[in-house]
Amino acid sequence: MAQPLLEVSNLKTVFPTENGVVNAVNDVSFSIERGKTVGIVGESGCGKSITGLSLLQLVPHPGRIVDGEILFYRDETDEPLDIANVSQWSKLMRDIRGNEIAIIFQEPMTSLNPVYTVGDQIAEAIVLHQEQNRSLLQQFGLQTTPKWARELAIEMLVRVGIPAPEQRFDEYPHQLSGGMRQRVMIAIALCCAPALLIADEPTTALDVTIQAQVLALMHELQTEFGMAIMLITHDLGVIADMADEVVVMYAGRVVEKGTVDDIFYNPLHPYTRGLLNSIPSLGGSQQDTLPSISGTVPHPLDLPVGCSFQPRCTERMQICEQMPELNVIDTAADTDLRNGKHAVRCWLCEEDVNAETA
Amino acid sequence: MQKLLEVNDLRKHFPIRKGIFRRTVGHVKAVDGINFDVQRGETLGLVGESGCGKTTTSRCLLRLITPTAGSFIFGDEQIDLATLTPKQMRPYRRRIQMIFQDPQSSLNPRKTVGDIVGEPIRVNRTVKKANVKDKIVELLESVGLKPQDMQRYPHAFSGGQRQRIGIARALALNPELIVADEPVSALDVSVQAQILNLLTELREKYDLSYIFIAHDLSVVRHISDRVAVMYLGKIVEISDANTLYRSPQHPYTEALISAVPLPDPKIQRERELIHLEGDVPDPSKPPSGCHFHSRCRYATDICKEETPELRETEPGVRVACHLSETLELHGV
Repeated sequence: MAQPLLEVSNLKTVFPTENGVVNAVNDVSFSIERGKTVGIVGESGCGKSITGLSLLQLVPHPGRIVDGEILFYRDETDEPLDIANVSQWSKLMRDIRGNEIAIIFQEPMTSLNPVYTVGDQIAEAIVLHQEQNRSLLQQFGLQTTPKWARELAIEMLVRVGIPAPEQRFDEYPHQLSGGMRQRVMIAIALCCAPALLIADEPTTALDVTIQAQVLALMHELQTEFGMAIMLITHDLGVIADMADEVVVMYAGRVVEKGTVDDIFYNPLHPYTRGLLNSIPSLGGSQQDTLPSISGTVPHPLDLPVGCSFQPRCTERMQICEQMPELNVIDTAADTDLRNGKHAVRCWLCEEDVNAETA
Repeated sequence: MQKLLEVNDLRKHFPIRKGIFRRTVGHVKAVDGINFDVQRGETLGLVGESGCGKTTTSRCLLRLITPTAGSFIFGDEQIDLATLTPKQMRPYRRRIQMIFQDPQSSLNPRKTVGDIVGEPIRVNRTVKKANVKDKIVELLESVGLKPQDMQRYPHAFSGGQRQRIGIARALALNPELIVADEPVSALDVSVQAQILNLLTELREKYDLSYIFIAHDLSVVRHISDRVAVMYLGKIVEISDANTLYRSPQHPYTEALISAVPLPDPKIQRERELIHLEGDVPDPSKPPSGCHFHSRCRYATDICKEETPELRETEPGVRVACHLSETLELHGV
C-alpha cells in the first residue's frame, strides 16, 4: 500500500477546566491518503472540529494535545514529521500552516478580515509563503514581476470561479455574497497548493444551490491540485457526495470508520445506523414518524460509564458498561466490500461476546 | 377540508432611502404578490434560498410587520387580518403563534422555563390564576419535558430541549395556526428527528395547522402535505409534497432538488446534477420577465419579457413558468 499523507494515531486533546478535564478528542486514529477525501461526521460537540484544529496545532487555549501521534509525510521519501510534537509557535509549524496544510472554516464572514480587501488577504498568504508560490507561478505560466502576488491572487480568483476578478480583488468582504466569500476562503487556502485541505463545515452556512457549486468547485480543484481533503461536517449527504473514507465520531471517540460504501451500505455501529435512519428522505415514501435516537449527546464532563453511546442505544447489553475497542471488521456479506478498513467500536461486533450470549 | 387561511396577493415592499432627505429611490420587493391557502389540519411547507422572502411572509402573517398590500382571510369568521388595527388584531394573535429558529436567542435567559411558558397565559388571562401552574405542567409534559424543569433556566437545557420549550410556549394559548420559521435548522440530525416527530404528534393531538418554513428540502418533504417554493419574493410552484418532489414542473424546483446531496453514495455518483450559475439576484433589481430566467437553463426569449402567472397546470399543481407544459423535468 502506498504511504499515506497523514497518519493520526491515538490522538488525545484535552481541555482542563475548573470543573474537570474535558477529553475533546480521545484516542482518535485515522489516516488520510494523498489526493483522497476523508469525511469526519458527528454531532456538535463530538470533537470533530478539535481534531481538525489539532492537526494544525491550533487548538485554542487551554486545550492541548497530550497523547498520540500525527505523522505527516511531507515528502514521499522523507521521514514523517510528528506534528503532535512540534511547538505551536515554532517556525516549522508556521511553515506548515497554510503552506502544506490549509484550513477553511464554516463562517466565511467571520474568517475574513472586514478592513482589508479580499485581494490583500489572498496576496498576504501568497507573500508569506513565497518559495512555494514561485513554482505555482510557473505552473500557471505567469512571470515573476513586481506585481506577481497580485497576478497570482487574481489567477486564484479565476480558478475559484469568481466573475470579474480584477474588480473583485479590490473589494471588501461585505461586498461579496456568502458563496463568494467562501470561494475567496478557498482561494486563500489553495494559493499555496497545500497537500491537505481541512474543510471545517465549509458549506453549512450556504444555501443548497450555492453549496452544490462550492462542493463541485472543491472536487474540481482537488483533481487539479491533487490535494487531500479532510471534510468535517454533520451533513451525511455532503459526505456521500464527497468522501472516499468516513470517520464517525461520538463524544470524542471514533465509533466507526471505513470506506464511504462501508458506512452507508453496511453500518455496524448502532449510532451510525441511527444517524442514517434519522435523515428524512427526499425521495421514497413519506413516513409518519422518523426513526430518531432518543436522548441527547452526553455532557463532556459527565460521560456515561463504558461506551459513551450506551444510554441512548437500543441494543444495550450488560457488557456495554466497559469500553469496547475499535476493531477492524471484515464481515460484509458482499466480498467486494471487504477491504480491511472497516472498523467499529461496539460490543455487538465482538465475536466472542456474541458467542457467549448466543 | 376547511380553509383556515387564505392569502391573496400579499406584498411587502421595503423602501430604499438615500440622501439627506431620505428620498425613496427604489423598493426591495421582499414579497411580491403571493397567493396560497392553508387548510385546517394541514402543514404547508415554504422553501427557498435565503433572501427569497420566506421569513418576510411569515412576519406579515403574524402582523409583526404591516404588509404593503394584499389580504389574508383567517378562520371561520373570514376576517381580513391585513387591515386590522393593532388593537383589533389582539384577539387573533392568540390564534396564530410562532416557533423561532434559534432556541438560544428566542428564550429570555433571565426567566425560568415556567415563566417563559406561563407568560402568554398570564398576559392573556386564558386560565384562572390558580390553574396556571397546572396548565404549564401539562404543556411541558406534552412536549416531553418534566414538570420539575419549570424552575430551571434556559441555559441548563440542550438545543433540542430549548426548542421544546419554544414549542410549549407556542402551544400555551391553544392556537389554530403555528408558523414555524426554520424550527430545526439549528439542531443536530438525531435531535432534529425528535423535534419533527414531536411536531407531527402535536398536530394530531391539538388539531393544529402549520406553516413550516425551512431551507432543507428533505425536512420539508417529511413534514408537509403541500409545499410552496419561493424565488425572489414570488411563489414559483405550489403543489402536493409527493408530486412536487417526484415531478417538479418549475426549473427552479428541479434545480433545488438536484442540489441536495443524497445520503447514498452510489446514487449520488450517478446522479446528473444541475448546477445553477451565480447567486440569487439582488431583490431591489430583479431580472425582467420571469425572475429566474437569468439562472434558468431552459430560458427562452419570452421568459425575459413576460412575467409568468402562477397558473394551475394539473389539479392541485400551480406553477409560474411559461414552459412548464413543454419541459420534461426530473425529480427524485
